[in-house]
Amino acid sequence: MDGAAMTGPILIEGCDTIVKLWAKRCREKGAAVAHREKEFGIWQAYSWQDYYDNARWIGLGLLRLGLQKGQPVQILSEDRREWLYCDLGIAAVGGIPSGVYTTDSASQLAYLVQDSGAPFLFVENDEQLDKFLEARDRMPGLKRVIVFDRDGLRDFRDDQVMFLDELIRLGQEEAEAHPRRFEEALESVGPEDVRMLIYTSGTTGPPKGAMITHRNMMYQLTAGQQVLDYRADDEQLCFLPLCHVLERLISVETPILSGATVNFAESPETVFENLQEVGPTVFTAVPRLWEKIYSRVMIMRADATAIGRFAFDRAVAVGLKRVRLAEEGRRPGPGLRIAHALAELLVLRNLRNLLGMARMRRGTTGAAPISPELIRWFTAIGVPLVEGYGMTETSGVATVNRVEDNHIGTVGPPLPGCEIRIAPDGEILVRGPNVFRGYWNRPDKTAETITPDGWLMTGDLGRIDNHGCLTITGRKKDIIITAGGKNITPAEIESRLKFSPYISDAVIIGDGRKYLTALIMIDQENVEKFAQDRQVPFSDFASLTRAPEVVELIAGVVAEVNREFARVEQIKDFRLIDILLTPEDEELTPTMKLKRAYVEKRHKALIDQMY
Amino acid sequence: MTAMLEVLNLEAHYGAIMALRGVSLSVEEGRIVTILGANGAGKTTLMKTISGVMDPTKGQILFMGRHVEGRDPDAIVRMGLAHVPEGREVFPFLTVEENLRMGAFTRRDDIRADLDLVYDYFPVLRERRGQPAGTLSGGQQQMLAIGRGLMARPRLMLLDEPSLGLSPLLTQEIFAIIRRLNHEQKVTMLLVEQNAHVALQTADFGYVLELGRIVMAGSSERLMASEDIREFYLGQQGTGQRGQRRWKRRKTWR
Repeated sequence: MDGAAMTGPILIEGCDTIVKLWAKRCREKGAAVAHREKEFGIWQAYSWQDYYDNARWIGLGLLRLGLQKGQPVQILSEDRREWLYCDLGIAAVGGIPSGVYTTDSASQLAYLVQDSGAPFLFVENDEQLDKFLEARDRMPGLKRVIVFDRDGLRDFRDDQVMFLDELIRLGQEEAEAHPRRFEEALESVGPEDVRMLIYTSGTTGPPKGAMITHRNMMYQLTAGQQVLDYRADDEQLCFLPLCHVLERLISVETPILSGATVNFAESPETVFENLQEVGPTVFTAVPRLWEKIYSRVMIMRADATAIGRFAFDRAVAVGLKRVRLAEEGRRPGPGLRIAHALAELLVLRNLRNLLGMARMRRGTTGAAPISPELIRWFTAIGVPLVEGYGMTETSGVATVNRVEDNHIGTVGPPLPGCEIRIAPDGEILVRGPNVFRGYWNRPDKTAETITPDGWLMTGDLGRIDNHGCLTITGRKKDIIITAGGKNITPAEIESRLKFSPYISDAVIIGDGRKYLTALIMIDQENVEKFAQDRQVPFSDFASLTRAPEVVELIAGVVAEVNREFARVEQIKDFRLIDILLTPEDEELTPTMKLKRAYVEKRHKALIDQMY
Repeated sequence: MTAMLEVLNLEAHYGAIMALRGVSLSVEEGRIVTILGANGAGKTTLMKTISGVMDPTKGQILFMGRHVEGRDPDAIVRMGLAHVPEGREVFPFLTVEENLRMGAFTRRDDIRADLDLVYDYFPVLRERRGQPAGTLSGGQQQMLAIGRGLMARPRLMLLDEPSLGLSPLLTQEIFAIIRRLNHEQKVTMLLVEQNAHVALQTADFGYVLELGRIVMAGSSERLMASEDIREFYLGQQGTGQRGQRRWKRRKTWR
């Protein structure tokens, strides 16, 4: 893309906004399946026409209730098709949809509603409605709350609360009275208008709303189309929170371009089963999920017969050999080709069938660092996995590897039309049509993030190799300066620790201290299995973390990781977090990553023990 | 105090179904320990595996320092472990006294003193000693089942849901006797209950079993203070703004 494309509109099929492209796609695909969702345990299909009609009625209903152009609307719900209906309905009439995590508390909800100034709030059910009721006095600007599900609310009456079916009826009346109103509103949305507001989980200070424009997202689609091959018959599985820019891009925007079908997972706990049922052709997940799938297979391996284990190990070894050759740019010899065909026939194909990955053309991972070994392993079993990099402020993706040219260990080259540069202090800077417009009502914060000449300061550290591929080395603000004055980026050590199936996350401590230590969150399932196999008694989770054998196991992992790092980067001591954390806990992000600042605060006692 | 009963990494199956997925717990001498859990959590399976009615697939059970896993139930009874089963299981056509004598089946010594002891704790059984056990009320049958267990002169009693099917008043009465037996006769108790309220009032220590795993362990005070126990086992919940609530919070077990 040249300089002109950096500023001019980005057109896809003659459309310059996501909503125009969406309306066009809905017209074209009509009765074809857009979404699938389980109802009472059975997959049901919903068409593009349903998508358009429902979004239209919701949009018109909101206009009738007084929604103004440029006003945010908050959505508090798990992933489901109504989420998308609201998302597009709001955006089409010029509103700004914004998602709230279902794990957020009532006061967090109140903060988001107040900060965005949203006059409307969609909530999924009675559970989420209770959050509004609890904190309603802190949301004076809110006009109406719209509830998706009526279950458990039959006798509930509140002047400020209505149900989605009522809003849809209102929209249908409006459509009768003004048949062109929705389409006119949709046409008047411009490429520089804000498509969505994404609140970034603030590890420092309160969350900030990042404004992502239609143009940002149109760019993501054109760039994505060039590097990832989208197909109209793709089947996707949606399970990460739609409030997050990654899932929004993958499950809402991308299918608008590609025409793919989105299947909604029942819940985050059923992803493995839903994966088997759907058999997606492309799949985007966070490293934690890829790690879980890997551990599952490893546990199955351990429980298999000796012959099964042997066949599995041989097949994976052959696959890995092929991956290594491909990385060196070489082609496998005839011997390896035959061995691989055999491995495919006897083991790998069955394994992929078992995992629901038989049809998978491409897996993508992002949002957190992943171990290169894990990418090699998945590629070896025939699931091409590529890593990408990006953040809310780059409206999703900034760099991504290609399946056919996968530089494992890097996050790939920048998207076409996006520039990347490393600042003298090592910080990654990004410029291009994917850089967001700024923070909602925070020009000061925007100015701190985007330089006058358009470079986004990502806060991440990295380097660019000879192929133009980026490698992330850590977070700038996470840099640990030990009492001895050594600068250490903890991310590399932490991601090495996490590669162990027994460790689900770790935080390296040591800023201003004499040496490094670690707080470690163990993987409950795998450590329990370890304890059970070795007859290590434990009762609850806390006692599991205290069992001497478990501590010894983790000490072994730590010692192994230490061998790979320099003397100043040695972990001298560690403690296991003895409570089982859930996404409701402040220490965890909704994608189950430990938040350094909170962990250091909440587990100060444990840290102090080590110094 | 030493552990009278120690269960280590116990696993048990019904065919292909895994009912216990690695349970470890210990019961110290002289204590009352309770195991809470919903239907299907594996409580009864755990009791049956300890008393030898079922064999574990994996794991160890140490009773007074000796391995008892996989041993016959009568041998375990002889060692001083009595199991009062769920649903009482008295012999309906035998008289009350015959039922009690059945409890002493493994003994060869004089049992008259023990019969008197049971009758002193449960005077109503003395009144009805000649009556068929099937004609007793539910509460009386429960008393009989406990009395029958006592006849084995146990050091440790496993009580499987003594409150099942009893009125609240009778439940209080039975538990008062359990406390007295523990206190006066020095019988250590391992108590399985769905009635968490009375169980936590009675016990010193508790475990929560869910789907064959222990998810929480602690003193009764600690368990009673836990938000999850209060909501899921004691039936207390904040009603919130609407005065009613249908959804359940996510369990965290801490």
